[in-house]
Amino acid sequence: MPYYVVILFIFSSILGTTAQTIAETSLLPPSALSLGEKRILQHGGRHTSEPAIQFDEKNTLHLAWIEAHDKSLNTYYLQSASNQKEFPQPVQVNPPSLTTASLHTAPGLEIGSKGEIYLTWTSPYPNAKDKPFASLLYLSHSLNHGQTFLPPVRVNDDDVVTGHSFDHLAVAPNGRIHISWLDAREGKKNPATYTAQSSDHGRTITKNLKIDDETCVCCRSTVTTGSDGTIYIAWRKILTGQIRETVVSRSTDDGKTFSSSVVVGNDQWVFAGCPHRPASLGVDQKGRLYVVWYTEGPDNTPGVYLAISDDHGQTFSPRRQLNRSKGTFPDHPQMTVDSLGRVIVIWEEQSPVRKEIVVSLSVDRGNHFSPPHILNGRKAKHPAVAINNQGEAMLAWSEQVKFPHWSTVIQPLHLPALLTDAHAIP
Amino acid sequence: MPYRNPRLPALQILAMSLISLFLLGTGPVDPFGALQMSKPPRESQIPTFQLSTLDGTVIHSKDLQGKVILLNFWATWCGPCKEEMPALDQLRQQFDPEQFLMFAVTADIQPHAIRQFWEHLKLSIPVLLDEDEELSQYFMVRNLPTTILVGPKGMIRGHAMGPRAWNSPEAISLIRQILVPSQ
Repeated sequence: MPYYVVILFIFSSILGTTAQTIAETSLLPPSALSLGEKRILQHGGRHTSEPAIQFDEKNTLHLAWIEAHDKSLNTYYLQSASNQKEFPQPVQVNPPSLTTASLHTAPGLEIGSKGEIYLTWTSPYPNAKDKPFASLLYLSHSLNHGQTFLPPVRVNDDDVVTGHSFDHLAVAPNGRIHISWLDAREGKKNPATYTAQSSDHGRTITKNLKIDDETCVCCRSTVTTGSDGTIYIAWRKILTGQIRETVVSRSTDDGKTFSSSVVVGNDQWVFAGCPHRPASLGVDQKGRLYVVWYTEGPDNTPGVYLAISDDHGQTFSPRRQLNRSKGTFPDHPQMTVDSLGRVIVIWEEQSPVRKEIVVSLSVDRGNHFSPPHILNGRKAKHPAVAINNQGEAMLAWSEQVKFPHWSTVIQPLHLPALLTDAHAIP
Repeated sequence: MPYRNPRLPALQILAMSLISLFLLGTGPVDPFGALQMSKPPRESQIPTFQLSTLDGTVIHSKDLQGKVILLNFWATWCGPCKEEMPALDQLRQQFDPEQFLMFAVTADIQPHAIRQFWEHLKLSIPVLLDEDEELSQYFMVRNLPTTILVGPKGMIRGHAMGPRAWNSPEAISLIRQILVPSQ
């Protein structure tokens, strides 16, 4: 092949890529973001985890977090109507005899179709002095709108003094609760990804099922379910050569079996340490699976990416970069999608002197995104987002509203209508 | 007339090249390269900071001047961080604390759990609590473990993302090289 043909091919590829990136940016102007009034939840100067947030069909906000009190950590929950100015007193979820293990991730939080509240959280393994970070995984539930929580049930069915954490949960349309977590019970260098279910509203848990080995040790697993009952679990897998890839496995039999894991973005990120960033998943009513994740790739450049699957996670679209930052790096993306396919992605942008939360919105099933919009006023971290099916969403993050203390900030977002020309990404 | 092999100059060049390659290959190893420690593209000074240790002692950056400093950023949830901690402590013990100081810096504020872990592994590295994550943010620590090496004049000398063999001869050479740059 003559050299000029090769050069022409490379040049046209670059131009093609650029054109695609620009098209992705132009559909929704920043003014389309209809943001409501911020509400501030103060924590009295205590250290907290990132917030977990849900927003139900009755426009009720559900919030959970872990908070440090002297030598112990506890898991807290509150719910509040979206138009309520003051937050009610939070309720402690874990019983006093079972403290929470760590602040580094939010508890898992899900709402059942009848208003049941489910939370997963971890507790230090009792008397495990030789393994101070060993933990047990618990599921708590409330049947009285979060006024009280019933005694928790243990999720992991082994007694190995090791880590059972980095957990997440989702409630399927049939009410079955699906829990995923990282589990080191086999004593291997790297943990495995596990799952279990509850079909009786959190009273009992099924036998634990290992989905895959060689899980990246400190990136939280994520689980979601489609309206057809398909269950998707994502985690970061370690491939040969210390390559870290976000992968997804699916179950079409109510969690009894799971498929082999499928690599989402083929990032080729080589790193032998702890990224500590989960993927974020969502499914719209037509079954499109959305995956948003952080990776650095072979050149160690941080990026926030989106890929979609229209075949139940068997294959994924080429990944597309959502951050457009220059001089800052993006971090900790979280996404949500409603049944119509309106997608909200929220993430951090930081530099040595700034730490911001930005949000970007798609109203055409992830084909185009609005330019990232900055939400915070002061130094901020830990973004979270939830959406209901009435076009209303809630954004949450931690912010140093009153320096040096961190507060949780909640801001409503009203979504514009779905664009009708939305189509599958080729 | 003595016989001259017309191929001799070429053979001589080849032999010299091979000897040079051999000498280069067996010459002093660059400890930065051996530990995959990147050097900053341009000289930069560490920021002024003031952080508390686990026992409440306040460490001020100005008190560290004149010493080589190793800052290891870690967290209790980071398995590879915890795995490399004993090796870091071994490296620390190789040097005079008047010349070389090491700190385990964390934004994961769990003093009770950290104390337990330190006692369990009999670690003596001072822990700095980066409560506001300002030091972590200044160095743009995005993955753990991350290690920053600072020279005696407060200039950043090296950066490593991910675990390293801190008790290896290469790591000891690295610290020596920063302590005595001419060697």
